[in-house]
Amino acid sequence: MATTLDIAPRGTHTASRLHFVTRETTTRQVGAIVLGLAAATFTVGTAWDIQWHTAVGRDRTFTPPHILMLGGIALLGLVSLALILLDTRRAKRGAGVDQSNSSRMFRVFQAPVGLAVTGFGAALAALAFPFDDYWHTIYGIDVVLLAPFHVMLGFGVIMAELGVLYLIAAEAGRIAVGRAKTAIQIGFLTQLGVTLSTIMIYLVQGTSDKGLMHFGSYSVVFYPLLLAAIVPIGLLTAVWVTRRPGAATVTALTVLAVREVMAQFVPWAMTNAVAAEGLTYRPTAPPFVVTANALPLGILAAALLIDALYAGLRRRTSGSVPLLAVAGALIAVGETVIDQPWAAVLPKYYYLDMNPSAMWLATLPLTIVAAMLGTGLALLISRGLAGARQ
Amino acid sequence: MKALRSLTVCGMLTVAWLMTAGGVSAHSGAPVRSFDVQVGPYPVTVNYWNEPHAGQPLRFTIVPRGSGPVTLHYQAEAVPGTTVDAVPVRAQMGADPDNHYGVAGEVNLPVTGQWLLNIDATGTHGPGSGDAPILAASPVVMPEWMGWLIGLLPVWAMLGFIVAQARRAGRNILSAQPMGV
Repeated sequence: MATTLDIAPRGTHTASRLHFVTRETTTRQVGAIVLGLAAATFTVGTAWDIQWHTAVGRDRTFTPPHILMLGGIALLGLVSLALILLDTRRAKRGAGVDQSNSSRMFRVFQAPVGLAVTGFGAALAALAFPFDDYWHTIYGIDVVLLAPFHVMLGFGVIMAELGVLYLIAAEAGRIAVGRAKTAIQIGFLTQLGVTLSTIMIYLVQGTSDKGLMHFGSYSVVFYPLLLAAIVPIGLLTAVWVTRRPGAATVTALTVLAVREVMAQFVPWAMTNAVAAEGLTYRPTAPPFVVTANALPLGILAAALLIDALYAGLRRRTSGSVPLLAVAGALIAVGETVIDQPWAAVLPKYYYLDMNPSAMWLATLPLTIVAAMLGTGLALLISRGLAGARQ
Repeated sequence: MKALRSLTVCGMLTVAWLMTAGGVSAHSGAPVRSFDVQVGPYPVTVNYWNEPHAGQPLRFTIVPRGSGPVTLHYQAEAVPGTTVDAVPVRAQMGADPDNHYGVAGEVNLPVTGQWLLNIDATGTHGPGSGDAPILAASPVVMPEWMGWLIGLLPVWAMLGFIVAQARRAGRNILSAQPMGV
């Protein structure tokens, strides 16, 4: 069986031991797929929730989109807990789980560190829900997206997704070469795309009435700042961790697939849920899917450029990492020129006297700083993921 | 086995609580607030059975007053005041077990501030509409800095984890190894 041959030899493995290791890898891969689907459920649920807030308004805690989001969070938490317990049991029985493929946690559990991160992230996101409800009772239903407990909720899930990425990366890291490794790498890139989509949801604030940030008399546009930081985190991490040209494109295509799912699901879910509950639309209800602006098409162009550069640079024996870092940051800044949904929305609805070109220029210095910070973070994340084994 | 049994009992109790939590429950004792409201041609008394608090449902009853025309059907919703950032919330209504002609209801007040309980009634004298005031009390207000302190927990935790893992992996991991993850 190909999978068995792909297992990286660590010490002397007996045939039965190899069987267990293979079974363990398969279990974790299946677990990672379920966790990835749970995270995607949360992300699509969040897109629905943002539409719900804008079009109908939040009238209680357990609205249909909130139930979908909570379902995703619950699945993330419960599946990671189940996998941790399963691995701990296998470790106690000596059945393929040991220090080479898992870590000891709290002196009780023995499991991959990624699963613990996923569990903690899900727990924090679940904890954020009642806090968010409380915050809404004080500040109203139209609290901005970047409010304390919206951040806690979203970043709790992003933390859980980071854990899934570590889980997959550790599995891929223990396999030397072959089809199984390629399959795990594709799984990794797909999960990276879902994670990127979750982070990108925050771009919605850039096309809302809070689309400008003010520092005294100096105003900047929020959208390009965040976009320039996010693009390298997703696309550079893809090529640095997998070391394959095409990795950034696979990640970008996943983002666009999530965008398409949102575009199909959100209007359908809105129509049916609003009709089923007998609710009425707010006068300000937008006739389009709000979160489409958050997952811009230009990410594909940026990914293709990064992949082409990586293909050209990877033969170099030294200096490829800093060169790609600089190029990646520049590409991220370039994407803020291609993707400017804020330039169509902000002057039309919220800032009537705004000159988009002048605003983009005013934001450019901070956009460059954001792209550099995003690239730095991508380096740190990639280093950890590339070295993950437990 | 014992643990499993306890877990099952806890689960059943939770399900039972969730099933009853959303329904319109019977009331006892005296109402905490009462308002005489003219709903079109129908004089009614609106009773609140708990103090209105933001984030909690308000239980109320609507009882016809005097010997006026008979009311057949009620609908109610909580309408936010002009300074309250919220949308109207429809009330759940059911028969009032204590008054044959009255109705009992429950409405969620998601945001602090002034609301109106808007009542629509239809009866022998046609349709009518009227309002009863609600002041939804605020919970204890958490300072915004504390909100951010708690809200940013996953961000700090994640950054700490990323830095720790990067240190553990070593500086040359991205360029030194021929094969990636």
